[in-house]
Amino acid sequence: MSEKKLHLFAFAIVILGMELYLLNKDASLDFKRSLFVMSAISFFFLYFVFEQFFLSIELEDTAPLFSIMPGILLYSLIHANSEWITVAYAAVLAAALRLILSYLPYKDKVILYGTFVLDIFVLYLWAVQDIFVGRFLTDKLLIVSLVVLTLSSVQQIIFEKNAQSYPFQFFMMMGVVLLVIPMKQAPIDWSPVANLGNQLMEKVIEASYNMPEIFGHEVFTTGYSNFGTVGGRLNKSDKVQVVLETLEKPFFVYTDTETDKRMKARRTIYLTGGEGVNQKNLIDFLQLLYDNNQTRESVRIYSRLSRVSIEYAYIDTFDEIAPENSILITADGKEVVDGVGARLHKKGYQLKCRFLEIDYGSPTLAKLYQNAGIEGVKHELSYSEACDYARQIYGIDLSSLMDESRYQELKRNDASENKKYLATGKANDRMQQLSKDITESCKNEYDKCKAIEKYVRQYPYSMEAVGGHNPDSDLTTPEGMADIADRFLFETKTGYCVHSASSMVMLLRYAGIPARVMRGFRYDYPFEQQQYYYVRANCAHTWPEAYIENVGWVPFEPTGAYFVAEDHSWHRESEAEYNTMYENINLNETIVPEIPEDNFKEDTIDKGLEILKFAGLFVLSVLALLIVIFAITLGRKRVKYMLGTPEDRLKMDVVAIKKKLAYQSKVPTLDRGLLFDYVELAPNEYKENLRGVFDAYYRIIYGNSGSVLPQEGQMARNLREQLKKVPKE
Amino acid sequence: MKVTINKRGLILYLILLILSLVFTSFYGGPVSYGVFYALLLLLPLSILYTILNYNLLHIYQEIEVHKLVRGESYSYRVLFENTSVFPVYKMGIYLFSDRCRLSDIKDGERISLDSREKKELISRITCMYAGAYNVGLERISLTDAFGLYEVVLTVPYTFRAIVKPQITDAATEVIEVENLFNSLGLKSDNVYEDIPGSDIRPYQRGDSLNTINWKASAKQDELMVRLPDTIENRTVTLLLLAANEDENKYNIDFIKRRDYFLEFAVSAAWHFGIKEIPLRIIYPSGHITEFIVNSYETFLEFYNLIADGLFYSSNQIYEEISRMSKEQRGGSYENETWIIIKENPNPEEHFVTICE
Repeated sequence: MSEKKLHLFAFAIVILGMELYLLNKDASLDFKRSLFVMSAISFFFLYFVFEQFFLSIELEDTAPLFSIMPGILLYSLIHANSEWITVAYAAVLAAALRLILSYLPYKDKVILYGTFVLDIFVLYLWAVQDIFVGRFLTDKLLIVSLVVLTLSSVQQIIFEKNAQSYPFQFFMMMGVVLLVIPMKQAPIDWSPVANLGNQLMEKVIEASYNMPEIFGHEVFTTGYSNFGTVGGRLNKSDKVQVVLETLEKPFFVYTDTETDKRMKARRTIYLTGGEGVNQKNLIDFLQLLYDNNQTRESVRIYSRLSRVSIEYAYIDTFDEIAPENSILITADGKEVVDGVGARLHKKGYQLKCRFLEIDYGSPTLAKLYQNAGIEGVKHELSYSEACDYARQIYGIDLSSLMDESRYQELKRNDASENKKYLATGKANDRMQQLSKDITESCKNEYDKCKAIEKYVRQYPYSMEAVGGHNPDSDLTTPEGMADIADRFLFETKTGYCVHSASSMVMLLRYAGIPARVMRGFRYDYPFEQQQYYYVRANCAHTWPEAYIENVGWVPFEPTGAYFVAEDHSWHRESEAEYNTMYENINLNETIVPEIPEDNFKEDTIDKGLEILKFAGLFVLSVLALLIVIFAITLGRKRVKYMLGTPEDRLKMDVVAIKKKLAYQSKVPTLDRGLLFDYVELAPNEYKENLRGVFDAYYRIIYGNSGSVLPQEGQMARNLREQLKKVPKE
Repeated sequence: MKVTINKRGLILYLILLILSLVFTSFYGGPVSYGVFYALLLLLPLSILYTILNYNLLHIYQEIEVHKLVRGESYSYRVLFENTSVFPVYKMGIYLFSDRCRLSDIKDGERISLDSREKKELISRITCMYAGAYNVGLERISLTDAFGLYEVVLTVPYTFRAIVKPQITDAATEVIEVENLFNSLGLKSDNVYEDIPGSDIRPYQRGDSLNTINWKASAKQDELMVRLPDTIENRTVTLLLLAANEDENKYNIDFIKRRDYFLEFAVSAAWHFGIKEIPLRIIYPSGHITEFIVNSYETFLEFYNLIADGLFYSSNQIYEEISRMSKEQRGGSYENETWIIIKENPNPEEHFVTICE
């Protein structure tokens, strides 16, 4: 019976048993399947190692019983700790399995035919209960284990007529290969075959993007993506995805208030995917400026019209990728309005964009945003007024961008349009409470947004992150976002833009502010002007936008790793002027709650200490167990000696004397089976007695009268005791 | 390498593969993909496993003596060592049955080797022909788990035995050994000794007076003369014209021919050597080599050399020795007899030619 086969069979039983237990359980999504299964099989192996050890010290029948003791000890140590309960249960389950499989009669046959029973069971559950569909890593592990076992069993039964079996290593090798091949939840998509030549090229490119998926669904690579992002672990990629071309300077010049020197500040551009031209935002923004009597000179402080040309590089998408607040996008001279094209855009696709570059970090603009919600719309701009005003402040010909009916249509504030951006999915009390805690001191919507942004920015950035509790949670649904946000905000507390954006969106929605997630790229221009600027995959970004009443959609940057809008603002007036004009604005002083510390760093330290503590206890327990077993073995020998006949005792004495003489001898002893060889090893004063004892030994073994004289027995005992005191040479 | 495909098995495998592909086209997830990929990988992985088995398998063969004698039995052992962690399963072993016999190893016998296992098979071996050729294990066969194919591969390191011929009377009749026994040398048919011998005949005109045997004439009452003996050749040369067929040297026909050739040469040498009659042997051993057998010891020396000592280092050597044989056939020789043995004669040629 191959131990490898036994382990694999046990592994399959563990996964199957776990899924059966979790069937219809509410918390099944949160159960740490991989941890449980891996712990169980590790314990199973550990018990096997212990069993081998106990077998080596001649505890044949009881070896399995002794082997599981460390697991039971571990269970008793950690079962009270809820953090480790999964491991504790795994230890017990593995112990039970080890015992059953060790004492099981006809073990070979059971595994041989039991594999088919497991197959049928799994197929039934797959077909009826919709489990093992590939949602979890354990699904794949179970199926691969069963495939390996089944192939081996079929080979043995059909091709070898149960006589022998092909080496199990071959099937194990197949299992390892199967494990590294990705297995999608979707069936094979045959549509690429229809256009084989074209698709082949795409697949090659796609394969280079998706290489990390070979290792499962948990690792992703940075790069432009749709909202299907789940927030799993991320690897960086520096593949060029988009190339920018602009004649404008890549930096702003401002006067530093401290040194009074002219300084450069790099421009930052947000490119959104799938958004296209946002005309509604433009007319909302014009209305805001008009209400606040902004002139051509005053708007220049925080906004300007810019141009950029965007060329697609290593990216295949239907999305139009353009700067935020684009007012005109053209491709091949034709105007592009929608955010998603009808055809797949590939390398070489070029867009020319005109967009309103707004400095969201400008204190002036912030003031306007703060007041917008309070003061409301003072005078509704008509179409002609809007056209005049746009021409006046930006030189834009609004009439060329939209006609009056379109303008009126956009002007109508459709409440139902924004309602979907308030959906929060399943009720989440703790998130609701957190949102309330953060925003309760804020007076207007903009301040609420900034407060939430500030709060979320406190979370450390890490690409070694996990998604939601449900591996399928992504940014396409409120439930998905809520799941990712909940796990990020309250459990893992570390993540990247996907986590912070979804968290801010959910917190905003709980605060009653419509919010949505945007995706695309965030690119910081270099200081030197160049002809082309290469936007790489590691610039791919996700950020939230909040809809502020009478303002429109405003972007925020809740990801701590990136500068907030204020940090790359080009509006850097002198400090005095700053304070005089905007003395009421001091966003840095917005007080937001801190991330609860108890579950964060200390928790990590505690966990580390806890692991150390348990490991120490476990090692000590194992040592104690070994001592007990050693004592039992010794005691058993002592009892055997005491209860034995004089002949048995003499034999045991001779064995002990031989051992002692061999041990204390300076030269290595070759046991030729002759007792008298050992006489030479003994100190001279004992040689005579030793010969007498060995004579008696040979007499009871080979002689006709098998009895030992009492004095001979005594002599052997004395000799044994005396030799114990002889020091090693 | 020879691959045998089990057509029925392969068709069944392909049907299962197609079914699993159809299944995977309708249902995703590990249940369908797991089965599909397993079937898809079965054949490539089996081939990979076979390659690993073959490349990590070491086979060592050994015979107790360095040089064997045809027809005699020796101890032979073959050691199989699997150096990989992948066991070798039911490997077939095939022998050079046409040239040697192994008493305890059967042709086609199957053995399995566990991870890093060594297994030794011991047998008695008898080589059927003289010469230098491969004996023992010739090929091995490996199969996949489900019997889809069987591949027969040559053993990476074959064992080349040097088999000495047996000493028989194969050459006796041909070279008129009787004649040699009687007169301790070959007699010429044409050339006579200068001194009259013991044969007598009546006097004829022209006979020299010196040849008249007066005593015999007196007894016979007529003039009788003594006849001279035919001259005895002083040296005998054996030219071994071995075939120059390097490409066929492991061919069983070649081995059989070489066997007879060697047997003949050795038997001839034996007959001369044992009687201490000098025999000059000319044979190719890289270059043209001359060896004088004139005693038991020199015969033994020749006997030990000849089994693997016949070869040409270049075609020029073959041409030269062929030319030598032609010259000897065409010429006449005083006091010299040439015995030319041609290993692979043309239809119009003889295996043995005696020139004197």
